[in-house]
Amino acid sequence: MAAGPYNYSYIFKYIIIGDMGVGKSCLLHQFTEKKFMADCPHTIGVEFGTRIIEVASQKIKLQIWDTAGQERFRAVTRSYYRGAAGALMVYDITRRSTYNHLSSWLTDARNLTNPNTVIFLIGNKCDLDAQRDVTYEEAKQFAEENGLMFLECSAKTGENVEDAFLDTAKKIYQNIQDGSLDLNAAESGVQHKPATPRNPITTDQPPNKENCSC
Amino acid sequence: MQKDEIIEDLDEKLGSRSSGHDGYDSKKRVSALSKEHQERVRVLQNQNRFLNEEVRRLAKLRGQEHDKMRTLDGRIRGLEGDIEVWKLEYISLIQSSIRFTGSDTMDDAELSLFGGDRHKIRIMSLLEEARRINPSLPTYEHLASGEVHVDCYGFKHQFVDDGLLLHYLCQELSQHFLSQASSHEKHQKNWMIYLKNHAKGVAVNKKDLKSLVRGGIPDQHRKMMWRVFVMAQVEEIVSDKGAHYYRSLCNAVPDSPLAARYRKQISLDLMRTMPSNVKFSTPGSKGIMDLQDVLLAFCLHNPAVGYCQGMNFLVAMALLFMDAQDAFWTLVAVTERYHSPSYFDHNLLGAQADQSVLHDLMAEKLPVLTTHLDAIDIEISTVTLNWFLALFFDAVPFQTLLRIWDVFLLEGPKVLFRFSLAVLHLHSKEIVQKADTISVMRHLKACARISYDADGLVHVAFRTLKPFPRRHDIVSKQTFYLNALKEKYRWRDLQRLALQERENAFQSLDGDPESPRGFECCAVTRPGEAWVVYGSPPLSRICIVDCHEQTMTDTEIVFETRVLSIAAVPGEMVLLGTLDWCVYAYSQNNR
Repeated sequence: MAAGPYNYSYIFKYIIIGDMGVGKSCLLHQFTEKKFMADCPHTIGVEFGTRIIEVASQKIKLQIWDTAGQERFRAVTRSYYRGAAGALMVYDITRRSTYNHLSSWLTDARNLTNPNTVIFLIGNKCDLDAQRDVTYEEAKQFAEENGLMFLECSAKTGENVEDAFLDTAKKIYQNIQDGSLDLNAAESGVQHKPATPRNPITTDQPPNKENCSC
Repeated sequence: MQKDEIIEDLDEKLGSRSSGHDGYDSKKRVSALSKEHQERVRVLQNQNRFLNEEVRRLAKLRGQEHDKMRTLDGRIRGLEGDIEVWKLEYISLIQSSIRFTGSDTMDDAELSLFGGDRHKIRIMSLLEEARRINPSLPTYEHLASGEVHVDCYGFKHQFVDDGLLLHYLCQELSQHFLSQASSHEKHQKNWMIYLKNHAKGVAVNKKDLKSLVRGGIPDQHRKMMWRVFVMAQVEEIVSDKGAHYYRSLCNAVPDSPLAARYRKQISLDLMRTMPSNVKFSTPGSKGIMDLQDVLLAFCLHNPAVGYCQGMNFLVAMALLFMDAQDAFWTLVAVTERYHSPSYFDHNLLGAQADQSVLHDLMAEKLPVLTTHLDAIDIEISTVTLNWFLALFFDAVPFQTLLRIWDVFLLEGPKVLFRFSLAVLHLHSKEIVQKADTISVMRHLKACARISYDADGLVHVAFRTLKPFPRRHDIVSKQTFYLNALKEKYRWRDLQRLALQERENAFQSLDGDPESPRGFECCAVTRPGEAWVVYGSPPLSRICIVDCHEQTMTDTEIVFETRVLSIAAVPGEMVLLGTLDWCVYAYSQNNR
C-alpha cells in the first residue's frame, strides 16, 4: 500500500459539516467501510477517511474530512474547509433544529471554500421516517434556492449514501471538464496525478531505508 | 589407639611373664607372638589409612556433586525466569503484529501471523496454563462462539475475526504475565510500604510518590489515589463551596434555564460516550444518569464554559472508578485546575494554544519528524487535539490510558506533552516514510492505538526524552500562543461585526430586504470618503460613503456586469474594471 504507482488520477478533498449528532461520522463510515458504525464514541476535532471511486472511467481518490459538530469546535474545524472541492452538509430529518442551522453552516461553507466548491445537502436518518420532522419538499426547495445538490440518506441502511458521495464527485469532475474549476488554483481541492506511475512517497527518488535518520 | 593400648597391655603381660618364667622357650614364644601381633597391627593400620582416604575422597566427590547441583538449580531457576519473560515478550510480539487495513479503528485491524496455526496453538496452551492461576481469564472457546466477554472494567468484547480474538487474548495474557512478574511483586510491595508509611495522608508532591505512580497505581489502590490527587487540586473550591455543593447543584438543575440550554447537547452525547462499557451502554442506567447529572451540574457550576464535547469522556472515565460527586470534582479539577479555564471555552483557546506548543516541542525533540510533517503540510493538531482535550481517551489502549491518567492526575498537564512526544518518538521512523496526507494521519492515530507497552511508553516519556523543556518554559510558550490566539479571535469578531453592520447598511440603503446584496470592492477617494461597489448579479451599483457625515448615497452609475476592481487615481479620477474586460473612468466630482 505504501509503495507503488498511483492507482488514481485525481484527489478530491471533501469536508462533512453539520450539527451535533446528525450522523456525519456514520455517513463517512458507511461510505468507506460499507457498514453501519454502531457503538462508537462521537468525534471531537476532526476525523478522516479515504476511498477510491471511479467517475467516467477515471479513478479518483476521495480524501474526506469529518468534523465535530458542536459549535465551539468550529473554531478548530474551520481551518479544514480550505481547499475543499466538495462539502457535504448534513442535517437530521428527525430534528428540525439541525435543519434550521443549515444557513449558518452554508455561510461557513461559502465563506471558507472557493466559489466552485460543490455543496451537497444530505438529509440523514431517512430510515426513521416515522419520526420525520423535516419534509423532503421543503429541504428540496431550500437546496434549489441555494444551488445545492440534495438527497435524503440513511447511514444506517446505506440508502443513497453512495450516491451522495459519487454525485458530488461527478459534479466536481464535470466542473473540471468544462473548465470552470481551475486545477492550478491552489485552493481548488483537486490534485491531478500524472498518468505515468510514480512513487507517492518521494517524488524524485525511490524510498530508501537508509534515508530515515530519525 | 585402642590397638596400641592392647599392644602395650600385652607387652606388659609379656614382660611380667618373662620376668616370672625366665626360660628361653617362653621368650621365643612371646617374641613370635609379638611379631604376629605387630604384623596384624600394621595390616590394620594400612587398612585404616585406606579407609580414611576413601572417606575423604567420597566426601570431596559429594561436595563437588552438591556444588554442581546448586549451579544447575540456579540455572534452572534462571531459565524458568527467562521462560516467563519470553512468554511475556512472545505475547507482546504477537500483540505488536497487529496491522490496520482500512481505517484506523479496531474494527479494521488484522492480525497476520506466520506459521499457520502454530502461534494460535501456543497462545491457547499459554492461556490454559494462565487460567490455572487466574480463572477469570476468558477462554478461547467462549470468545470464539461469538459470546460477549466483559472485562474487569466493564468493557464488552466480542469478536468475529479470529485474529483479533487472538490479539485480545494476548492482551489479557500479557496483563496476566505482567502481574506474575517478580518486578510487579516488588512494585506492589513498594506501594504497600508507601501507603503504610503515609496512612495519615499522602503528600502529593513527593518525589518517591512520583516514581511509584509512574510505575502505575495498582488497581486496588487506583480509586483511592485518584481521589486523593483530584481533591488536592480542588481543595480550595470544595472548602469555599461546601461539602454539599454537588448535591445542591443537582437539585438546582431541573429549574435552570442554563441547564436546559445544554441538556439537549448532553443527551445527544450520553450514549456516544462509552458505548462499549456495560455501565454506559443502556439508556437510563445508573452510569448514564450519573454522567448526565455530573455534566449538567458542571454547566451550573461554570456557566461560562458550559458543556464541551470531550468532558463526557472525562466524566465517564472518572465514573469507572469513583462516585458521581468525585467524578464531578474530577471534571472541575481537569477543566479549572490542571488546565487553564480557557481550555474548554467557546473557542477552545487553551487546547488550541497547546497544539502550537506541542509543535514547538516537536521541533525541538523530534526535528526530523517535524520537518517531514511541515513539508507535507500536515497539522499535528488534527490528531493530537483529542489527546489533550479528552486526556487520550479512545486514543490509546485502555491499560495505557489508565497509566497516563495515573501520571496526569499527580503531575498535571505537562505530562500530556511528554506522552504525546513519546508516542510520536516511538513511531517517527515509519511516519517519515509516508507522504500521503491521509495515510500519515492514519498512521499517527494507529501509533497511539497500538501503544500496548505502557511501561515502554512511560520510559520514553520520562527517560529517553530527557532533557525535557522545563515547566515554566512550557507555561511561557502557552501564554504566548494563548495571547496570539486571543488577538486573532478579537480581530475575527471585529471583522464579523463590521460585516454584519455593512449588511445592515445595505439593507437599509435599498429598502428591499428581499434582493440579495453583495459587496464587490471599494476605493478611498479622499480622506473620509469612499466609493463602494455593490450589487446583485447581473447589476452593479456604486454608492458614496461619507464617513464625516455618516451617510451613504447611491449614485446613478449602474453596470450590467460585475465590477471587479475600483481604484482612485490622482486627478480626482476613479477607474473601474469590469468582468467584460472594460475599464471605465469617472471624475470624482461630476461622475
